[in-house]
Amino acid sequence: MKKLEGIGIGVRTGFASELLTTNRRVDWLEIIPENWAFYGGKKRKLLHALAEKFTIVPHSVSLNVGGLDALDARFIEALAALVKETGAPLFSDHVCYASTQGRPLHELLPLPFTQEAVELVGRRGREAAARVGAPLVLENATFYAHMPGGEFTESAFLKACLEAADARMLLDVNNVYVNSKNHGFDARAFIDSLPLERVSYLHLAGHTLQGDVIIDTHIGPIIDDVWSLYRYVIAKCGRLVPTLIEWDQDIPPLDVVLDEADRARREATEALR
Amino acid sequence: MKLASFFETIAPYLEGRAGFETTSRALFGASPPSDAKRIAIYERFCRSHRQTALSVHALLRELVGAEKWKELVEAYFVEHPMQHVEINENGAQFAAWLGARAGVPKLWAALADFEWWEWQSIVAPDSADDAKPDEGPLRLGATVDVRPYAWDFVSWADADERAAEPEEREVLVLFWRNRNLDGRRALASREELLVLKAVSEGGEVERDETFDDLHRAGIILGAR
Repeated sequence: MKKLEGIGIGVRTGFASELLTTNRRVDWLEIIPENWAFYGGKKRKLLHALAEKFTIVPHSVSLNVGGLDALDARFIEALAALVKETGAPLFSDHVCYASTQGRPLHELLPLPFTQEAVELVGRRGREAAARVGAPLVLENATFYAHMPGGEFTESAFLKACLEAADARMLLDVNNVYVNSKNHGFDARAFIDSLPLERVSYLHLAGHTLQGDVIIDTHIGPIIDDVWSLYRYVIAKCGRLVPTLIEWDQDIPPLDVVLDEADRARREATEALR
Repeated sequence: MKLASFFETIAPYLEGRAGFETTSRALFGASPPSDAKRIAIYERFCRSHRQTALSVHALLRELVGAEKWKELVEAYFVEHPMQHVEINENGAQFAAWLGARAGVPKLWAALADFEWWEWQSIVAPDSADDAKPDEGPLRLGATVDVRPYAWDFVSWADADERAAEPEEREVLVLFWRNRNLDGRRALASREELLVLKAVSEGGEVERDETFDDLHRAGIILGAR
């Protein structure tokens, strides 16, 4: 089983091949399995080459752990095969729904923060981990609107979902920042209320202000307030939690993304002094 | 609201089959919370994903024009809601749907088919039969397909200065993945088709220049 350590980046098509030849430090990679699992040809060959060189974590958007449909058998099988092929130590997705009536929506959609949703995520999260054959890690997603009938705060809902699913946590620091601004809460207090002992790794990313709302676009660079929150999380956890830089739109050259990874390494080291 | 009702209420809106006002009222009642209007963000995201799902059709989109294209995509997904988590796979029925739609030029459906098969030659799953291309009996590569068109899309797509529309003429296009795993398409000649027919039927195959070209390209596999 490969280890997840240090600072990684999300693989994007534009620079995927360059990762095989760069002399710069890259500790691990994250892939969106929907964009790799079903492809043969050049992309499959590239995936195998990347997996030989790096620890790879599949980070999906379609697990639909909060949906009512049966888990997508074809996707679960593809995920299981991908985990096996790449030797991934775990796989991750989000606390959300992404499909209704068997129809994928290709979006991370917010659930009502209810006990019914907690039980659903718990049951399906356990089922997904068992069928994929690897630990499931669940991420706190951004949400722009509260869905009706909420019975929990976001942090209480996340905590309950993680416990019910017996899942580890992927803490997206940028998402905490974005949600705190969009919904007017204190980001550090939110961090304090999370089960940090469950955190397997962190996400860092950029975002975009559109009108009166901040959208989680994953367009970098990461802003200073998010770096500050990252230092807070690392200090609070008391360990160099594996961290991943996401940059998904307006994607720059690889070196620019790796500059962000280098900064994360410096910021984390500084936070632990 | 139980989750089943919640999903039944919001799904048609996210899929472009219901409006904001109706959905918002059904979800939040007469006094929605201050952030309720932001469900429109999700509707916008989902609509954008539907456009992305058909992005393999870049030539057709250009031919049709941006506004008409958006309409076509929305109409397609009303009749063919997403089924697959690999987003491009949701366009598998698009060419056939266009072909059956009243008022749509046949050229559009044919071009959609051409672009779809070009895409398939790039992404189709690997076949164990292709793993040792110079061993075993003569055979066609797993990704090889020959499709007829009434327009010469190959010459049109490859032209330095592309005409407004492709030339109308009957052609056969060969799609395949080459030995470097690149997707390829080319107009198929009569000589090539005869060799391919002989290989696929297991008949006698003359090792001539045409055969050599097809073997080198990765269209014909097996021990020479």
